[in-house]
Amino acid sequence: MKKQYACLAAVILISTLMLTACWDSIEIEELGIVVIAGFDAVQLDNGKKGVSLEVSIIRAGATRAAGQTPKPTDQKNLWHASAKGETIYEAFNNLYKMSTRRLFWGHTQFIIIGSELAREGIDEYIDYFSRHLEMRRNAYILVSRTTTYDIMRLDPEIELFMNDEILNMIQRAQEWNEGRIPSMNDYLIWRAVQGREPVLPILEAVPGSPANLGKLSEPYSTVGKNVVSLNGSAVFKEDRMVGSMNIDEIQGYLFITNRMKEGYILVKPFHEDKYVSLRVLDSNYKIRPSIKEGRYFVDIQVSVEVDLAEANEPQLALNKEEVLQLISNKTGERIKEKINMTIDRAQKEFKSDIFGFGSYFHRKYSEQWKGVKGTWNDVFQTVEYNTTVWCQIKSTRGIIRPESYRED
Amino acid sequence: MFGRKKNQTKSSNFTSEVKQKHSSSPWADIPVTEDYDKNVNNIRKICAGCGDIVEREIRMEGLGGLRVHLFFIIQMVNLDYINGNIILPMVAFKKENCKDNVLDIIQERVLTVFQVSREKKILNAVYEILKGSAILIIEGENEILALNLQNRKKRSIEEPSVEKTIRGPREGFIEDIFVNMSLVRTRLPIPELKFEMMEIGHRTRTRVTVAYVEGIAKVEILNEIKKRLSGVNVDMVIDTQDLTEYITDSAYSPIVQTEFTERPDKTVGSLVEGRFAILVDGTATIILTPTTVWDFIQASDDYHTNFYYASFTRMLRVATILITLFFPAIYVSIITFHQGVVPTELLISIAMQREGIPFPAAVEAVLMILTFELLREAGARLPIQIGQAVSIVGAIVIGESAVMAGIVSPAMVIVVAITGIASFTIPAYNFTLTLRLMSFVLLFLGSFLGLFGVMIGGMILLTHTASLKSFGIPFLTPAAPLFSLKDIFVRAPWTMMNKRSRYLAQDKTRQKT
Repeated sequence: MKKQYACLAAVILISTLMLTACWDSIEIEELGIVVIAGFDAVQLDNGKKGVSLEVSIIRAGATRAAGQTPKPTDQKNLWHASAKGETIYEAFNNLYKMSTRRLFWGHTQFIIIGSELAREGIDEYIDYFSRHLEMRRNAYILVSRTTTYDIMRLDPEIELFMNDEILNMIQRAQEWNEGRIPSMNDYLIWRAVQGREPVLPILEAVPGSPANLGKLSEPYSTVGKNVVSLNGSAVFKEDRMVGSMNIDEIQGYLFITNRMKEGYILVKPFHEDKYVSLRVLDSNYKIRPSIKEGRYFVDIQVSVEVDLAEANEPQLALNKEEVLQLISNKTGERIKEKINMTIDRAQKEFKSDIFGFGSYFHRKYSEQWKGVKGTWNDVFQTVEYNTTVWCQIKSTRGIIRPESYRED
Repeated sequence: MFGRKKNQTKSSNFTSEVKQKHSSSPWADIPVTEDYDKNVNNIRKICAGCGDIVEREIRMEGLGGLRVHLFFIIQMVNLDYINGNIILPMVAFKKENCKDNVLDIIQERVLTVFQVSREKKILNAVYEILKGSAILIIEGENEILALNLQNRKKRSIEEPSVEKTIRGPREGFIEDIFVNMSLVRTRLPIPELKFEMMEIGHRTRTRVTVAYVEGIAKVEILNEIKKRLSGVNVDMVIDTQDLTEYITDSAYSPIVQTEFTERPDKTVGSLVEGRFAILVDGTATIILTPTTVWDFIQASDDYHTNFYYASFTRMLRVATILITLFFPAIYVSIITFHQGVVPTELLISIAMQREGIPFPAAVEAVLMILTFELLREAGARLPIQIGQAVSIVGAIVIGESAVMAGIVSPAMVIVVAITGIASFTIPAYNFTLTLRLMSFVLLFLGSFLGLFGVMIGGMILLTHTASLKSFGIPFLTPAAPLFSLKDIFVRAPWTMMNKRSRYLAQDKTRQKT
């Protein structure tokens, strides 16, 4: 009798397991893996303003010919599609109508926003992605100089997939001055923190090589083609893009937001046309806010460690302490110049506190902050500041004179 | 859950029961009488149809023409001894002045045979013949002399075929229990090494020996082993496996709980640790017990190599247990449920490979694993010469062509191959089979419920494993309950292993410090 009950229990248990019928399971080949997503401002058919959602999904099928081991060499290995709607979700559903596969957002590595849309405000669109179950918070957010499609339609030059091409480039952006690329999470934090406005990097399709390279193995070089490149940063005021910064301003911005951990600086210490190039090894900053007689003041202190990467002046006596001292002083001045220029532009032109001065006041003067909270970006324009930069040359990379220098 | 019924084994007087067990024959109680012809006829009747039993009558002129009848099996005795040590002295015997009875005269003065016993029952005498003795029925005597001239055919001692080592001893057990005992005794020449003999099986009358080292091994465990062995009441014991299934604690559990070995050195190591060896006549593998799960991952080579490398391989084997159990299940559940956790490039690569595959990943996995098991089984059944063909078919047809034809994806082939190879690194073959079986269950759970199912399955498996006991020793000792971990995930240097395992041994000192 007992045995029968045990058998019955086993049968019921196993059947229950079967009845779940692989709920939630989806075979990997039924997925359309979205690797790039972007959105742009468009005019809808009914004349209203709308949004278009553009995605690139992996075309795994294109890469596998029958009877062959898969080789992902096909150029057309991404499928691009776009759909319009009044909201992202509507656009998404319209897009779904075209796709034979279930769109999978778990591997979306970045979201590109068209600059036209960025100028109108992006919070309402980011909201869809921040709520999405599959979407990763660490997906990068980038702004396209023109439209999203201008970036997405480019062919990869080195990597197999366009998303890898962009991803690998922006992940190394720190090495050549753009600082760390913010993710969706960073953006959401910026929007949540009081007294700090977002800055997002700008992607642009630029000509690959100078045209005068001629006919040098054209199909494999970038001559005559556009390639994707990071070019400047978009400054936001709340969720609206208000302008863009060039590389010098970006550096100034990075120094006082403690993100300039790598990158380069050019200075002309002695002659007008002879440069010394320095690589940043590390930088630290300190910002002390103070309110004196109702006037807002920040004291900015930056200390930078650099090493000397290139000296175009053969006569430089780098073995002498005072020469190095002079170069580092000049470098400090150059950095200070950049910082001041950036703050100046932010105050006068963008009118947006991208440095987060407001958050420093918020922390230190929480009482006074309540009064200016709503109008901080106006107050920001009147903030006075004083910048101090210390720069130290850590190394000349073992060479004190160029190899070619002949001593007479 | 998988335990045997509690009342199956009854405690009883060990040796007497074994003898009684064989006495169900109608001839059982017929004694040897002084009627010579009747005795001979009785034996002929019992052995009617046994073509291998031969007989011979001798008249001993030295004892006044006394008739003596000899029964034996030619192939099981040494014929030279029959001729030279029995027949010749009997025929040549000359009567001397002495008052002893005939039996004593024959045993002490005539026969030049070392081992002689006297049987009072006809049936026992017949069993002596069958074991390889020659029996002598002497006219007018009510006892039969049984002369042990056993000369069993056996193969020579060879290197173990399953448990190979790179540097260890090359001797392996053979099918003869006495040779096996001698192999152990040679390595452990102390009187504390005990071999307790018994016979199990009404019909096979298999000799079974429990070996242990007195003073180290725990008496409670010995008593429990004896109790269970004496409770085994079957007609046939051919191998250690059938005996195992009668005496393990949870015989119906899918997890094997017995360690087998065919290595005398390993046996000696286990005996000195305080474990017991059960030797069965007629098989080259013996049982080592009590067993813990860690015994399955301790290979002989661990003790024959440098402890750093031995520790590395030990950890590798722990990893292979996990790989064998979980790898296919985790792979299938990740690519059908949790695509988000795979690195993007790997996901794209797998997606490309899966493109155009007609089956779901779970079916694909089952197909491949079944194919692998088929190949393994075919390889095991086939003679070595043809075995080559199987591996070629396996490698080329299944591996290459199945992928080319788009039936399975290369990734799945890799998963199954890694799982298969991983399972072969576990020294205990029976444990490997358990793991492979369990990995099927986990794969099934994983394909229905995803990683959640794999997790649930793993937890049930772990809980069940932890609940098992082998002769009173929890199956996960010494990791859970925690004792010394010096010989589990690592193999500590010999100089540091100066205590015997507390849970097994009475005498814990191995090394005076």
